[in-house]
Amino acid sequence: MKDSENNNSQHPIWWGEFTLPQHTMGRWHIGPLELWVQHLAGEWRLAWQSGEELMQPVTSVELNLPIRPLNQDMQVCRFSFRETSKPLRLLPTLADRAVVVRPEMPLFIPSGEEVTLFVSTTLWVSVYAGQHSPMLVEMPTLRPSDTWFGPNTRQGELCYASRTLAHTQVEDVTPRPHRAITPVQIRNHAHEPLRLERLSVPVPLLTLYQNQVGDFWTQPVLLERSGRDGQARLQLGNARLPDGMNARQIGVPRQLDDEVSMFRALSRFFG
Amino acid sequence: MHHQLSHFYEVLISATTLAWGRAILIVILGFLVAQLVARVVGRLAVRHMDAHRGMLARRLIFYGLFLIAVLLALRQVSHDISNIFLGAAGILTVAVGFASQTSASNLISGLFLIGEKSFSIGDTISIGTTSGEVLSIDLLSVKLRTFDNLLVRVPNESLVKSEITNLTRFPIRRIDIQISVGEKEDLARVREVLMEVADQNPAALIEPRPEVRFSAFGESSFDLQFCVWTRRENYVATRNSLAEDVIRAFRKHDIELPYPYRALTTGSLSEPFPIRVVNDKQDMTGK
Repeated sequence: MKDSENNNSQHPIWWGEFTLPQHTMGRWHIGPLELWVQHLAGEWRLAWQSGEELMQPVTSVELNLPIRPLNQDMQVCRFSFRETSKPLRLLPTLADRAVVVRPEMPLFIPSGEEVTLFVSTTLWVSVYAGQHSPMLVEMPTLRPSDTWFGPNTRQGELCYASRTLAHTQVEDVTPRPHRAITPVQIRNHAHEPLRLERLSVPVPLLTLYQNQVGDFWTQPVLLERSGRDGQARLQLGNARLPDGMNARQIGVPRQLDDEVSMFRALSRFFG
Repeated sequence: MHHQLSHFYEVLISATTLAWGRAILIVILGFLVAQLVARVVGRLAVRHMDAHRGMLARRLIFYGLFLIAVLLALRQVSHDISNIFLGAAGILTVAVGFASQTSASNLISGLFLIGEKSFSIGDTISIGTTSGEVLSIDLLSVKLRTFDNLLVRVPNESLVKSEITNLTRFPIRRIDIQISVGEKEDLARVREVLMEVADQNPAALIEPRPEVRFSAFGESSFDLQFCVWTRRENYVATRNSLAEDVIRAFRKHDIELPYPYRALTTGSLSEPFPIRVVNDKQDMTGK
């Protein structure tokens, strides 16, 4: 394991580059996800399955294990290569769709006020057969349920539903090895209070970071409800991670958007 | 004199042959050019308009260019093509007179269908008992590919008159599963178990929320309707997986999926049914 940098995390680092000799296998437990990677002659064979999300999630990395027959319940993929000597690379990524999250109960943000909500979303694992190789496969550490976010069943967007709630205090969000925390700052510039029942967090636009203790954080989001009727502004550039956080960037957002600030219909973010 | 006349005929014949040759060449070249231009326009149209409009533009351009080529070819063989047109118009009038009743109706219906935009190429629609993917919307008919891979041609006229259901117009669909439970079951508990089933299935949408609706007091059951929303692409798979999940959950929670039964009573005033115990072995051997 090359990328085993020292950190103070209670969980071992499950991502980075890993050297798996031929005819051996590696096994990763990343929260609810169990991933097996077998290095055969000219072939990478991957198998995975997700279990239940536990309060105390397990994270472990076991390498150089003898090849075992794959479990029938697992999802399996095989990839053939002329050369398989490059180290295997695992990367955490954010969800490929926006994630809808609810506060504990509907929250009103009065005119001129602002609040920061902390949202925890499930991570995906992308597997690469080397530094500059194309991605082999990616899988969610726990498949979130689908949900619809829009004013009606004709207009809207297909999203993932978060199993956890949005909290106003960061202490209420437990960092987990398979989840990333997104601070969402909401400002209400309108004259009426903003009723917040559901919130759509555009995670495919966000950059993922890992702090010094190994917790995953994303680029913060600033959502401003403008005075104009039915409009909200999403800003990604100006928001900052919590003070004192020494975080390093992991990868790039799934969707690169040149606009750091964009106006959208209010119903695109708030429900 | 005779020599001059034969020379004149030779010149005339060679000029006519040449004109016909040019005409045929123009028709062939016109066909090829029309096909090429139509193909290029079709490719460009794919980027700027939907598949159906692209196909329409392609066909219009092809037939338009080909018609121009035919007209140019006719000019080569006859300086006065108005006579040809008059003749053709006469034949066309008779033909149209016979054929127009159905064809014109289909043609006009086709234009209405195109204007109405109820469905487009690639959509899955249901007309009466036929369901399938729309392969093409032509001037006279719509071609469907059914789920068992058959081609069905539906005349536009009958499409305009029938009720059409577009199954893929909206991104999400509701799955309705009819469920009957035993009369002794607590409906609140059944509802709780069904909601748990929907919650555990990742393809079942969280919003719009799943619902359990009471349908009827059946003869020997309570009839319920389990409504779950899903992505239209996942409709069949989610319907199947939900049915399996419901059966599994009902077995786990001892919820009865009842069979129809009849309770026979003799009434309070009549005698009880007489019961006779029979030895099976004796019956089979006839002893």
